[in-house]
Parts: sequence; structure tokens; C-alpha cells
Amino acid sequence: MKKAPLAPWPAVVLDSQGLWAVARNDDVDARAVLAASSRAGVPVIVPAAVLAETLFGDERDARANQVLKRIEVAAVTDAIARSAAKLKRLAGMAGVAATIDAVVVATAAAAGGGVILTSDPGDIRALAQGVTDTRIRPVRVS
Amino acid sequence: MAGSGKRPAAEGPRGRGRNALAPAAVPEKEKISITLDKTLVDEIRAHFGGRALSASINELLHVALAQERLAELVGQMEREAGPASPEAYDRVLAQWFEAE
Repeated sequence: MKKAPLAPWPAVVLDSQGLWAVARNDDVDARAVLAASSRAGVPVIVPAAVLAETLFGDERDARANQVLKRIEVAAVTDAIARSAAKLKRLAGMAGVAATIDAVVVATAAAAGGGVILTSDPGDIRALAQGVTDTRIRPVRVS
Repeated sequence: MAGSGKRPAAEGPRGRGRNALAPAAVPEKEKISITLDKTLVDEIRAHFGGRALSASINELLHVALAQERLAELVGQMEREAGPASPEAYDRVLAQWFEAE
């Protein structure tokens, strides 16, 4: 089997579905993103707010917890929260789900851009329109 | 949108993401005494400019261990489900290079 290519993106950020796609290990594109990132020394990051959205707080989290031991959990700092609020406004979005998505995009922007593993590329793309200085692209997972 | 038409490359082991983002928990510090190659220390000092040596080495070790952990995760995923196909790599690279 051919070696993974070197990832050209500066970071990988996971939203809820991205985290579960990695945890379930049933999405070949998620596996491709992580393998290419590992080869290139690119960090894989999940914002702490995503954990609040997606974890159950019980034994159902076992597989996600195995993943979380091996990737980076990033704090939602004041700067990231403010950036997320602005992105949400620029995209004309509201609500809790949009807030978490905006935190994901703001985290990617703070990381210098990158790939966001998500099942909802439309919303991520809309929010990323507000980021003007780095490239952020959703990669769809199932 | 900036980045259109460009193909930004990852910065290697010290990717921007790692330097810009705060960890979710601030780790406790431990003072230790270690011995390193002088050439290595000189290079780290030169690379990080005026930064404290401890902070520089801490960051380098953080990055190195994060890479090890990610490699372990990828290895485990590939043992369970096999490596990603060339088509999967093509799909994700196409999404990254996709124009707005």
C-alpha cells in the first residue's frame, strides 16, 4: 500500500461528528486526513466546547476517550470565543449548534487554518467565509 | 477570502496551531536537572531567540510527544480498518485545494 502523502494543511480540527468518525474508525476519509497529518507532523485538535456538546459523560464515551488521549484538546479562550461570535454574526447564524460550529472554525483560524472534519460542510464553509487570512476547508465525514 | 489560489503548506513539526492554541488544562511544572548535547542546546537557543530555554525545550517535547501519540492513533486505526485508500487521499486533498 502506498504511503500517506504529507498533509499540506497546517492543522486538523474536529467537530462532534469528526471526533466520532475518528472514534468509530468507520470513515476512510477521516483515516486519510489523520494519516497524512501524522506524516507531516500536523496537530489534530478538538476544541473543549465540542466535548461538552458530544460526550455522554458515561461508558459510551470509551472510544472517544481513547482518541482524546492522543490528540490535543484546545481551550476556548476569550479570543477564540470573541472570534466565534463574530463569525456567527457574519454568517447570519444563531443557536447553540451554530455557536459550537463557530468555535470550531475560530479554533482552526487561530491554528493558522486547516481542515475541519465535519458531517456538515455547508455550515462550516459559511462560517469560514468570515476568516480572511487563512485557508479553512471542511472535509466531509459520514 | 485569503488563501484562494494558494497552496499553503504545513510548517512541519512546529505547526502554527500548536503554538497559537492554549491547552484545555494548564499542566503543573516540575523542576529537573538534565544533561543535553551542547550543540543541541546551542541550536535550540538560536532557533528560539531570546526565549527561556525551559520553555523552548518544553514546547519541543510537547510537539514530539503529540506526534508520537498521533502516530499511535493512526497505527491503531490502520490495524483495525486498514490503511486509507489512494482514492481517499485524493478526495481529501481535493477538498483542501478546492476553490471557494
